[in-house]
Amino acid sequence: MEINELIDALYQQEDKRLHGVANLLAKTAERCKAGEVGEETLKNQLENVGRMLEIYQIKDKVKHKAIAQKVEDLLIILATKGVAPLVKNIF
Amino acid sequence: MKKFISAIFITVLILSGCVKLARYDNETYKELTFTKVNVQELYDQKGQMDEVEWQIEAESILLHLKGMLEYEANKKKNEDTTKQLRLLKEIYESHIDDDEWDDLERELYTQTILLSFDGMIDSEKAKNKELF
Repeated sequence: MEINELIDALYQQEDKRLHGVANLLAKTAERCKAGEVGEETLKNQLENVGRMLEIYQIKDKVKHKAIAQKVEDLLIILATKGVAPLVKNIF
Repeated sequence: MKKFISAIFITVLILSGCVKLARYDNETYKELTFTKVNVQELYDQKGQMDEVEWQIEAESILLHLKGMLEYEANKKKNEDTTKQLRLLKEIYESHIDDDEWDDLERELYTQTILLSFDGMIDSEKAKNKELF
């Protein structure tokens, strides 16, 4: 599981605003890989995207469920193996 | 017959206890839309105005969000909205705790918080299909 999968999934959503989030997350991941920002920055941003998706899921249990699961999986990988496996193929 | 009526009565009682959604509340809708605009304005001003003044304004909005949360938490059958607002407050707090924002962070923070407000506003609107 890499962050690319989450970014692709966000781009596939009908809601164009999520494409913007995908684009910005991709840029953050690139900067993280380049060492310009720390692991903590990516973690915070992933956590907040997860919270935002949860807000939508409270209204509609199905909406964004698969993406929310990806965020959860990425956060587990980040906590256990660090940022490297997440951003391996980000460029 | 008495047993049948009692069974229906008990079923209705149980079902009414299962309904988790609160009714539409204009106060909630108004507070969410106004606060969304204030937060957007605040995020636009980050780095443009004096940092101390910005922090004072940010704390004032946080206090307002806490008040909104208290209001929602005290409404009956309102667990969903309360949870949504708690999540939104956590996102907001994490943003204002970050001292320096670059352009990318400003854009991502703005998108995330506005989408979160929109998610909550849509939820509230969905409770009143006649009005929206």
